[in-house]
Amino acid sequence: MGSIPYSGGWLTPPGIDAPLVWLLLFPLLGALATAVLGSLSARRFSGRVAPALAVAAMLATLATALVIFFTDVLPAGERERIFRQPLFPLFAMGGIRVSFGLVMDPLSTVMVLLVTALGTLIHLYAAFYMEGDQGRPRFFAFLNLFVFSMLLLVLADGFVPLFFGWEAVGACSYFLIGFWYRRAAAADAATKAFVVNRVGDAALLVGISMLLWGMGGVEMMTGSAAGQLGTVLTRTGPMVETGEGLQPTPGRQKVPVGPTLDFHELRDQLRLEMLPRAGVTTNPISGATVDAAHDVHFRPGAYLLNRKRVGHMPFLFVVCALLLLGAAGKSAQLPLFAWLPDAMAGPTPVSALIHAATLVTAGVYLLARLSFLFALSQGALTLVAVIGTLTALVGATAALVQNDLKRVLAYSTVSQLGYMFVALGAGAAGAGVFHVVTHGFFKACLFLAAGLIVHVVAATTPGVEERPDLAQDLRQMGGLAPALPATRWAYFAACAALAGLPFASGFFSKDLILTALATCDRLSISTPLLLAALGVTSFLTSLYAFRSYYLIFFGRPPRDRAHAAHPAGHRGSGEAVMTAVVVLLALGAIAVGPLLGWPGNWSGSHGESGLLRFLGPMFQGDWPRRDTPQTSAAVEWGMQLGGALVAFLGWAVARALYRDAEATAPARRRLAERYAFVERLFATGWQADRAYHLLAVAPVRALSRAAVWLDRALVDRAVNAVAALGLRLGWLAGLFDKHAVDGVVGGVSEAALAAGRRGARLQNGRINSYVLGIAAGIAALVVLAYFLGS
Amino acid sequence: MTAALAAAPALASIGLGHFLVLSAVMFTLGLITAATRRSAVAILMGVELILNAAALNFVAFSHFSRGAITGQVFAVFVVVLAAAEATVALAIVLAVFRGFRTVDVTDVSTLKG
Amino acid sequence: MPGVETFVFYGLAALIVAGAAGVAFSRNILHAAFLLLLTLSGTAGLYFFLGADFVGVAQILIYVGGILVLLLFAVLLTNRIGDVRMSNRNVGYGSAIPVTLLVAAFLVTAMAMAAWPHTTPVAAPTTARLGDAFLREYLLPFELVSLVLLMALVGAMVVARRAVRDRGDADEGALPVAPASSSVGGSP
Repeated sequence: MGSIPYSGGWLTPPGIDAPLVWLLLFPLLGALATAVLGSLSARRFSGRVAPALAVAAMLATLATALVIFFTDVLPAGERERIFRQPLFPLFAMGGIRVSFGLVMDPLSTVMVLLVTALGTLIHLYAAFYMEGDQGRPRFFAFLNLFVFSMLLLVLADGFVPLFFGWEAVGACSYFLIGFWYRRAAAADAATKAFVVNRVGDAALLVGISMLLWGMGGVEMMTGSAAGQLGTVLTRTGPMVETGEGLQPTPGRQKVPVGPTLDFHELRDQLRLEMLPRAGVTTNPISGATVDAAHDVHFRPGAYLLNRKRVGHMPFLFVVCALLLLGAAGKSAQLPLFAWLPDAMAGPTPVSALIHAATLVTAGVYLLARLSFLFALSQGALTLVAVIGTLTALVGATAALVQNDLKRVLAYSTVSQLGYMFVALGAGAAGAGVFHVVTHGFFKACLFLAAGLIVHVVAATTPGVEERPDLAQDLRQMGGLAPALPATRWAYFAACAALAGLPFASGFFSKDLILTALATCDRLSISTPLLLAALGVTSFLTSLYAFRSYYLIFFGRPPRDRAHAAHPAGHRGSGEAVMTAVVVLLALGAIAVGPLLGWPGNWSGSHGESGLLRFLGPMFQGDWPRRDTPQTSAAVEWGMQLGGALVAFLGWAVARALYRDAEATAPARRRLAERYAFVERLFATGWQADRAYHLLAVAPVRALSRAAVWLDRALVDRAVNAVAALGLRLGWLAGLFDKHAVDGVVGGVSEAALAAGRRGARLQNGRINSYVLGIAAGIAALVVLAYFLGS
Repeated sequence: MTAALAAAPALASIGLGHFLVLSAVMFTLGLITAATRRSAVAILMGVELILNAAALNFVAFSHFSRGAITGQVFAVFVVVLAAAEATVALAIVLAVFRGFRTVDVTDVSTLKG
Repeated sequence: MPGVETFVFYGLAALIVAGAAGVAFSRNILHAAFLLLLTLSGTAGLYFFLGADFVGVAQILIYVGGILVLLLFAVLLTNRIGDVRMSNRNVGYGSAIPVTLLVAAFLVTAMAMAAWPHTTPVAAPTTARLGDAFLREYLLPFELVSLVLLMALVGAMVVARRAVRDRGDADEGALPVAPASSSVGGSP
């Protein structure tokens, strides 16, 4: 791999304390209050106490986030937006001190705002959507708990709190997917999600442990090399971006050295390698002048990590691959994506919040957090990009042929997450996070709109009670535009954002990603190949998005639908609020893009604007910029044009095929028959489930059958033998008891009786025997006296 | 008669031992009677035999100890007391006979032994 | 040549033993009673032989004349008259014989092993001396014996009298118990 050139960097300044814990406490207390008070008052106020409490908690959290953002984060200088709140120490082992703390830096700020904003809106929607459901206290408690977990995840200052939040969101996802636990499909889907997540979590844990070990963790923990832990004094202060590039500031700085689980510390240590350029002077431990190349006592993290190897693979690559696998489990990437389509068995607000906007972005967040680590390993970056591309492609192809509306959206999420991973692989973590934000808005909008649509279809389609899935079937929809006007336009706007039509926010974020990929020269695979694949994916994305749009709102409704017009009784304040939320999200889907990510080539400035500028300090210095402003602008224009073209193309094809679905039905049927195999391949997500079954489920089942056989043949036999032995012994004991013991006891009593009988014969009432007795006694006495006397 | 007998020469060949043996034999037979006979009256007879043997012993001792008369005194007592005892015993026997209609000792027992 | 005493002794002894054996082993209880008479008479004879004339006479008067008659009355009253066979079976020889033999054995052994004083007996009438003894050394026992006789008399009457509630009994009444004369010790 060779040495990695850095164009500069700076060390993390110490943070400022902020009351971050309230961001966690509000949803947590909300969850408790909802669970307790909601259940207690479930029968009063039509059970609206639970949703009310939950929404209130979310509003409080959102308010807190906004307050912290506007009063602390924004006013701070660009490089000082790091706010820590250490909570409590966990344990100390040797030289490692593990503690639980929160940090609010630009990346976590963005995530916090996204989660709280979308969370509040979706809570509001859910309050009306779940009207009448008996399990509302449970639902809203878990929803709040989920928000708490997600905030913990994004606010974590190190691997430990992150992992807590990681696991917690997985658990909440399980509870919420399986909310209607009486449905077998929901329970199975929840279990599947959890188990697949588990695989990722295991990889994550192994990755973290290996990282710790690779940084010299074992030596530090056993204390033999504890003396090597310490701080290093730098000759100058942090590097700052000036007109001439990165320059060191005057002053000195202390950097802690040694294995750590804290993100910022880790980042600093991994960049200590360039400290010689920043001027490291004295190692306070050895007292000698430091020369990084030769001083064996002083081991910067990256130096360490690059030195080790696992088998034939570089250590760093293995660690990053494991972390990637963990992220893939959570973010539904290849190969761990098949749980997401099934997770649609949960209520629609759950799908919107968890499986579109927040939980599934946790993997992206993790990789963004650790982008400095991935930046050190070219192989890892390539892997990330490739997996992202493939996932995007597979997801798009699958979304194209689904008949269930929610499954279309689920596969769409998989595909869009692939885009985010591509961004991370291309070294544009900021672009990836931007796409997280835009995707959050338009996908949530799509899901919530789907909720409204399904509601209407369910109300007017017969046979829905036996098969609830029928309401989500695209083939049962059609001609709903008159019934749901506002929803229709919101859906259109979100589809435009998804497809990447110009001026919709998806356009901006996707464009940034593609540009980053195009300008990336760090990957081991040819970027044009990936770009081509992503281009096809974008086409398919636009196609399936508008397919669903036209199938839902246009055309004639199916023959057996009661009537197209919305039954009068359904309109209520609930539906108005829900529609308002959907429209709001649609507006956000349109507006967020331009607001946050106005492209540089449009404004003519080389620097980034909006979100990327905000996030800049997080990733600066990790990634060398080698391209010139001119080439970058050219590429950007190219990507934008290409993206717009592809999006329009997809729209046009979809319009042609599906606007008048009945007319094109025969042609489509012929096409489907011709490519039935392809359709089946796409529809099953490229047979992912069967692959799981073959690779994991079948072996485990075989193993368990073997274990059962073993148990029956050996263990049961052994146990039965022991039991039989016990029985035999018992029988023996019984025998002994019956004959010996009873014999003795009986014999004793018999003897006593016999003796008694014999003795009784003395008292036979016959004088003769009495006389004899007297005589015998006298005789005995005399004999005795004789013998005693003689 | 007494004087005639008294004038006889000393009974040198009949010693004390003979009388003792004789009384022992009488005692034994009386014991057998008391121990084996079924009739209560027969048992009484046996008892009389025993008493008789004892009295004979007394008298024999008295005879063969120089000038002692104690033996004969006791013999007289024995006889008298035997009489008293026989009286009472036979009264009892009669009472028993009235109750049980038999004097068979094996039948007059209400003990279960 | 054994003297007359020997013959007399052994003759009397034979009578005694025969009678005793008869009492012990006779089948017929009436026979047993009469054989007892024989034994008692023989004993009386031995008393006379031993010079205890008063004792001998007392024996005949009381034992034979009183007790034996009483026994005969008892025998006859308590057995069915017509039944000649008057069962007198013996039982329990098995346990009686060993004990009895044992007793006999030790008696004989004791007597044989003892060194009896071998004194020449004095033949003299003893009645006077007996009377003397009764009224001198043995006065108390003498009186007590008469008391005993009284008690026996009363007791016999009490025991033998008919119970008030007796039903269907043969009217036997109280057997008149004829004790021997209360004054055994007569005047010289």
